[in-house]
Amino acid sequence: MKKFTTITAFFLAAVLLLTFGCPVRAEGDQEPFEITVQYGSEPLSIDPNAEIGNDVITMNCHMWESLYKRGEGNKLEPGMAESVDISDDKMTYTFHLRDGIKWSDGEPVTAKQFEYSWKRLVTGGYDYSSFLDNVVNALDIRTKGADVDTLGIEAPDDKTFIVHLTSPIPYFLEICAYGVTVPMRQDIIEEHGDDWSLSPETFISNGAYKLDEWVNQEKLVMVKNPEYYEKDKIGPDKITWLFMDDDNASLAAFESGTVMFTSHFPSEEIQRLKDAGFFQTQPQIGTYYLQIESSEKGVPELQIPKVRRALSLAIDRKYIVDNITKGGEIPADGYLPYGFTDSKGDNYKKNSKLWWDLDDYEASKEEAKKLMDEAGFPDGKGFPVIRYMVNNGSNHQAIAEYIQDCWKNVLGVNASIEAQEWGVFLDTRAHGDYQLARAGWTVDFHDPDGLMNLFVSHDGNNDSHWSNADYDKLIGESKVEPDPDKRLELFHQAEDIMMEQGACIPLYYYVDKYLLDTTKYEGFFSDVDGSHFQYLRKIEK
Amino acid sequence: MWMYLLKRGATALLTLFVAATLTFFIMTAVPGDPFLSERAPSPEIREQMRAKYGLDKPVVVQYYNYMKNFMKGDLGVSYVQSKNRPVSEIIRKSFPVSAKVGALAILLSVAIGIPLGCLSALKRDRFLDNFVRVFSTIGIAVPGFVVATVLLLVMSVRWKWLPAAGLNTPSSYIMPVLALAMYPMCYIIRLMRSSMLDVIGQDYIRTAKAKGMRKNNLLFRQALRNSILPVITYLGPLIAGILTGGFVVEKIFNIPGLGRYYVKSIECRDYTIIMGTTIFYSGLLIFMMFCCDLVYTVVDPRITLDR
Repeated sequence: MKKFTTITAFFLAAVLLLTFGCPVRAEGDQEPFEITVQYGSEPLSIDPNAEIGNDVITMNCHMWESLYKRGEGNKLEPGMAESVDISDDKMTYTFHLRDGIKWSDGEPVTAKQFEYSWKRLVTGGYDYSSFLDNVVNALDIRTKGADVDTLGIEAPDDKTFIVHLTSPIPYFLEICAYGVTVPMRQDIIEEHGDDWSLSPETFISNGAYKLDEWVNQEKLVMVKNPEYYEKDKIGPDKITWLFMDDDNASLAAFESGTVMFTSHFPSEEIQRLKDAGFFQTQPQIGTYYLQIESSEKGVPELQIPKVRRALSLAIDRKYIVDNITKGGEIPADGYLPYGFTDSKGDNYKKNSKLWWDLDDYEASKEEAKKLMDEAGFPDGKGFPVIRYMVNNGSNHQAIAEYIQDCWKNVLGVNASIEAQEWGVFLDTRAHGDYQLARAGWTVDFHDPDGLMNLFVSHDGNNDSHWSNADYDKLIGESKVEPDPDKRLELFHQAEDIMMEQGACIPLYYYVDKYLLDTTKYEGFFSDVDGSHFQYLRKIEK
Repeated sequence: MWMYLLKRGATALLTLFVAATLTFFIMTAVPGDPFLSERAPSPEIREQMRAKYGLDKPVVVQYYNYMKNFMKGDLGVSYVQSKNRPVSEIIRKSFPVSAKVGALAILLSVAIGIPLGCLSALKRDRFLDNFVRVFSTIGIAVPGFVVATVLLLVMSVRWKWLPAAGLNTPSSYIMPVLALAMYPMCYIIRLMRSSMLDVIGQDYIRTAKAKGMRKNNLLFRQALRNSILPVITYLGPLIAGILTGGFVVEKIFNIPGLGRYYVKSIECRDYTIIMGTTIFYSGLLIFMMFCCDLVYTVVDPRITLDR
């Protein structure tokens, strides 16, 4: 009898526990929408001012918001700011902050916090410290140690933030939507120093999500920020970012359902993944090119514009994207990629000079041979062996081998390929200890300025050391030209000079490649400021 | 005994010092620096960053500063990988993760490797021996990343039995442990087999057998004790190596262990992590070698520490 009572009591307890002890979903409550994605390896730092690399820019655009933002459908729209007044000369921007905007700890977001962040960015010695160089005195503060209080920004009250520019740059609102220009909490940073961004307790943010967990080398978890002013418009309740840096493992994680999105997978699998319907691309504004060392360290024969153009024309770019990279890259027909538009919305490329016909490689080959003859090297006679430098990994070596073959067959020019470890490669290239090397660049906003600066004499990123006074003059003029169309015309002229002189050898334009089942999800987009999952929705069947 | 411990301790410290010094100077001699990237920050910014972490000073001064801080137990902060996070904290958090997977892999290697090696030797040239030999040769020849990838494809992608990444459930340990254990297990099998074959061919075993000693007694009390010494020698560096994490396995299975830091820190010139992990690994290796010496004395009474 006693045993029976014990068993009965146990079962009753179990039934009660199952009935009342488990969380019961109320009617109308929806199952939480949680996603796990793979977006590269662990970010170096998630401090917004110290952003480096696409991975952290992407993660942070979910947790942080600046004056402007990329909203649903990839529209550039007001973020923390409700509106902006732009002066007639487009040199002064007065932002009015929204009412009721709060940090994830419930504190209000104020204009002073923007002022603090922007000053921190300019003086902090970060990769993006030069991002605000167009703000009055930013350059002097950054490079000459001028007083930070002279920075051309003001926060007269909690709701107003004023920015004074040195030139009427048309993409300034894009800068104001970029992750490095978000507001920052002086109280938290001063209390915790560099450690403030290392744990969820101190990593207080103002965007759609807040940091929930960060396990080094494994994952970063973010959950909806309950204080966010548009929290009801946000899709996933929780996003887990797995840090994976092995392409095969990332693909396996996607195919086994561990992650629903990955941006890393072996290029050999692309065709199969295309057939399965998972492979997606979105245009990325950037160019993959070969740069030629142009300082006195470079090879004299490679400084002849006709030789440079011949080397460029001898390459079949369509072959490279169709047979080597195979990821939907766009073969280059000039230096600047697609993605820039004029005031009428027409693409920049519409008025670009055609430097070679991508569909007529035979004609390009003939032109290349002719140029080489004119330069005094018929059939490559008397031309030295070119040292072509690449870094290990990816398709760089395969591309180099194909180009080596093109040059040999078309021009009779021999090239040797040197593959270096990434750190050594960067060092060699930065010091100009190479003849010809692979390079690539993507922009941070929809403007050619970033790409064009790479060939301005004495620009910190001009590691080909190419220099042309006319080119420098045109780029200088573009920086102060208020009319966007005239500005684009200046870029056209500058691009013509660099292509005529063979400043570099453009190969293809980048695309964002990723795996996502678009029959199950919609609302994802990627742009210059990374990938956006905040408006992702499940497709109802 | 105490004299021996003292001598070993002094040698260990000297070895650590030499390892740290060599690593420091080789590391700084390699081209590149932690703040170089595709979109390199401007020279002024790079100089600011170098100054912030003391890299603007001559290498000898940097070395002196590092060793001075090291003596105080300060391994510095990461420059790149986990920016500003203390290296000691990185080791403290990631070592237990690697050690857990590694310890399971060692257990598996030993638990399967030793008996299978013995069995293979005892059944020499029979089917089992041939099978074990082929299996262990394949296990040694096939690299860890191939084992890991095949496991991933079969267990995770094809059959969806096991999770592809992380260590969130007990079942998620199966693949990394198998991948990590495959090589040492097969190596132990071969080591054990050849060592056992050598021992069972010795005169004293034949004598014992002729005198009618029981087979189990002969095998476990006599043959095994004498043939296990090479395995113990191998286990010392193996334990140090596996406990501190396998780079490939941790990378493929997304395990937040210490192994990933070894290679990645070199790739991105994260000097403090290179130093921290090298010193930690060296220390563990020296300790494990010492443990091996202790175990020798237990297994083989002819060996003493005082000599």
